[in-house]
Amino acid sequence: MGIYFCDVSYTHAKGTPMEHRAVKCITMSIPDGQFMAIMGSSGSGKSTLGQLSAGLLKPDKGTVYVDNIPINNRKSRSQLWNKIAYVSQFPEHQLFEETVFLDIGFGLRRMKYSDHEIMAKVKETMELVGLDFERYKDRSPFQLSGGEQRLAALAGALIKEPNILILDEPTVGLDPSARMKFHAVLTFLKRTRRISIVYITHDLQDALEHADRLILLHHGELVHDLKTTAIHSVLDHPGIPLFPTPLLRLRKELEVIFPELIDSEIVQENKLLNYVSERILRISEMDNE
Amino acid sequence: MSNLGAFSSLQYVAGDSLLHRLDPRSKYGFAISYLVTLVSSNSLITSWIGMVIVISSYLLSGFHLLMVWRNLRGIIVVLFILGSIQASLNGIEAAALVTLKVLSFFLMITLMLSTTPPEKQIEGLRKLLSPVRRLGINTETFVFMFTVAVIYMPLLLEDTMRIMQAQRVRGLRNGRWNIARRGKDMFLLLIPVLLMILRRAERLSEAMESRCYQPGCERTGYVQLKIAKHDIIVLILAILLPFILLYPI
Repeated sequence: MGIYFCDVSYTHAKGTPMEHRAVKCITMSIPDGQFMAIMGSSGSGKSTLGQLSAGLLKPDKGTVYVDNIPINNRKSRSQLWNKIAYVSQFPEHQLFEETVFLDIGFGLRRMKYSDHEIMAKVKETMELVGLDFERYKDRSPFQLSGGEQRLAALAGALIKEPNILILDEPTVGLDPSARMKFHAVLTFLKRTRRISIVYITHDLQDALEHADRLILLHHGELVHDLKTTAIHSVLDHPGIPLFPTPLLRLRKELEVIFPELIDSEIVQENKLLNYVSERILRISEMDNE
Repeated sequence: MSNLGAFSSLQYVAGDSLLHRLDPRSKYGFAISYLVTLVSSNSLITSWIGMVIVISSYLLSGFHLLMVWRNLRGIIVVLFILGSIQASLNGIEAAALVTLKVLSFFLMITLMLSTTPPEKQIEGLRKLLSPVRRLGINTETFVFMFTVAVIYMPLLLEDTMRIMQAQRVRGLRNGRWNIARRGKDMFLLLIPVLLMILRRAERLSEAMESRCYQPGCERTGYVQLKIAKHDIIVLILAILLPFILLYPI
């Protein structure tokens, strides 16, 4: 189950002189419940891969399967779109209704839910993403700030309770507090729902913080598919501008001083915290003895 | 770059063919003479010759012939409607004539726009309109409006496509023939698209003002145009074209 890419290629503006091959022969699978980050330099095909997995683009070659249903199949497409939610790179392109309430409830109205149900669900989802229902429901989505627009777009995507959530650079242009809020929502989703998340980003810190797995693209090709804990093995790849996070830099320094003593799992702040507190506890226990 | 159907043909496509190297003024001259001839002719043979001319120009531009088909795909419905109205009113021959004329007209304009980069288009238009400017009419604003329309059309369409994608992914389930529903959804596009146009316009005007743009001011061109030998040949052809095509037939 989940998403399965079988030898997928995609070319933009095919057949015209502007032809550009964005994704080349990618085979991979994203199982249910996995948080996967897609990284790569600009123009490496990340967004195209996201759109392919959301069924918004049709691959030229190969097939994308979502829960074993090929997305090329016209008949099953509507069934598919109930399972997948996609938040695009530009949230302003995703909001189109008059008020935030109508916009978030758009999908449900199409599924013929009753007004009462829609009201309850919209309220629940808005609170989940951290938008105050009473305050925002009657406002126009176009008057919201960038961060609020993103949250509204996310709420609109989540209201269908999808199995798969695709986020295309969701934190670009957000201020630190909006960013924190967004991350808190992601952490909550990861803990409470069995939902696969595809997170397209340039920010290694974000990817390491949340993802279980990292996909690195370079010129449309999949160059690395690894667990986030194995990140140090690809940091020096010339084609991918991965700027090490402060924690990774610290790790590198420590590794020089204490070779092969540092736990490879320490790529996230909370892991470091656990590691350090465990050590401190052990030392204090030894002192007590 | 996404596929924008018929409108992708209005975008400039980079290349290095004879047509790309031609001076925009000679291209404008040829296109105007061609279009005037096409519109004023009433014979089927002239229209066929016109069609042959435009197709061979496509070949000269180094574009794949498939592109002709791609460009036409968008207007095929319009062609069909026009053709059937003409056929019912004036018979098959008139229908064929109208179809050929519209086809050649559309292809010539797309060919001109797709072989001339926007900056050359502005400069060419500005130079062409310079006699009018001497009469005291402000042509600068008109030229600028034309250019912005040409440059921004594809961007705008791309934005519209994005919103349509967003609608689809959020549970828009239209039957192919559910026209009432489709119309309603198109109506939903109006507000965001209008907002986007206004925002883009505002951003553009700010960017221009920050670079000291003053409306109506005499400006120098970034691209310097030069009439070469092949431009003169094209211009002579442009002058001869109406005589050759309209005279005997």
